[in-house]
Amino acid sequence: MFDPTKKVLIVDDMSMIRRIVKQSLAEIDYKNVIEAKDGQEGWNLLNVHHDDISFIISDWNMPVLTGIEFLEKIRTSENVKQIPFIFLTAEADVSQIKQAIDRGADNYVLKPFSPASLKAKIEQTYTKVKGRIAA
Amino acid sequence: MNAAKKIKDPIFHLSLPKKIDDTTLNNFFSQKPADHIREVHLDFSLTEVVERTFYQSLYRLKRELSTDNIELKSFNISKSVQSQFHESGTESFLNIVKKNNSRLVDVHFIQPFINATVNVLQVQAKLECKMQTPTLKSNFKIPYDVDIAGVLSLVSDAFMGSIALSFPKDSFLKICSIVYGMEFTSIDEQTEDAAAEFLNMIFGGAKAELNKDRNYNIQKALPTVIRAESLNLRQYSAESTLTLPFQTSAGPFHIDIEIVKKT
Repeated sequence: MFDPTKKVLIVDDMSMIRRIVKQSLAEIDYKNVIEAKDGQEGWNLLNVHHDDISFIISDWNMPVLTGIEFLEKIRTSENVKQIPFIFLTAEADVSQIKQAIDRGADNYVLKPFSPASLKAKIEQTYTKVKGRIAA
Repeated sequence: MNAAKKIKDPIFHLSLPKKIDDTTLNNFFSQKPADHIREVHLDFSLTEVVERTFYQSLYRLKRELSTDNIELKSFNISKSVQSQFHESGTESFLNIVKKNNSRLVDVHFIQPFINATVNVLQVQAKLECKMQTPTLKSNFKIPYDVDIAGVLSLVSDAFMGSIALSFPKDSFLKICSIVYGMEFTSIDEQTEDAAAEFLNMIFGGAKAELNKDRNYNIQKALPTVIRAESLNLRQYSAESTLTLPFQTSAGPFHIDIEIVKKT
């Protein structure tokens, strides 16, 4: 699994979701969490902490810098482009999920979600990206 | 999801898309109609193009429904589309009903909202949520003051409307206390988020189900939070707004759904 001593960056404009994600991560031993309320704030935090971030969990529909814009910035920036990215969405819409994966998201989590389903998605993501992040 | 109260409507309403072909009825064919279904309504409001391959699907539909003693009816069909069926010799299968009385806010429309509400409350707040009897808003006297509501516009190719998720203060704060894992005694900026996010999740779940199974093509929308003491939300018309009251161990809340057909 991802290194639990490293940070997880949670990006969501809704404090309730940040809280739920943080609590769910704590239940599966990811207690080192930093939070941002939109993509721009997430980007700023990423630039400060990029060497110490294990993976990112980000909402899709956000003000200032949306999830997709945030993801595009990450995937085109040399020093952070390998960081695993899981997007959160309330829409079980196949075209949106496909769009996110095409743009470089590594996985997605549908809201509402339980700690167990979040854990399963994180494990699935790790299996998918471990070769990339080890390289 | 299991706790969602199922309403048994004898009518299965299917809104057909702009262009119909041999794939249009695939979702319908993949599941046998429930035993209580007595009529299937095809709504052609959006339909402009009929591919020849659809006629075979229509024939199959008619034959399978007849076997199960289910009546097929068609509504809102334009003259040009009707003439295409006429020329193909399949018009008689349609059983066209001239009067526009196929309902939009019917059981099939509201059931996904009920399912999503029960699921969201169960997964995110660990609350069992029981729906009371749905009723027209004009006939529903809310037995509490609404202090906070999330509202969202419903826009699709065929209709417009709105959804409002309304809470009295006590229920809302108890639910927030469970979700946030800390006690709240007043509604603040942090807890306001919850009204919007709960509605966002309910809408997301219902929208996916309706767009997949009913071809409604409901568009994306973002919720807004309204706060006031004794809030009285006015939607387009109380006569065409359906209220779904829910009860949980944290207290009651309700959802209002209003749909107005585009003309």
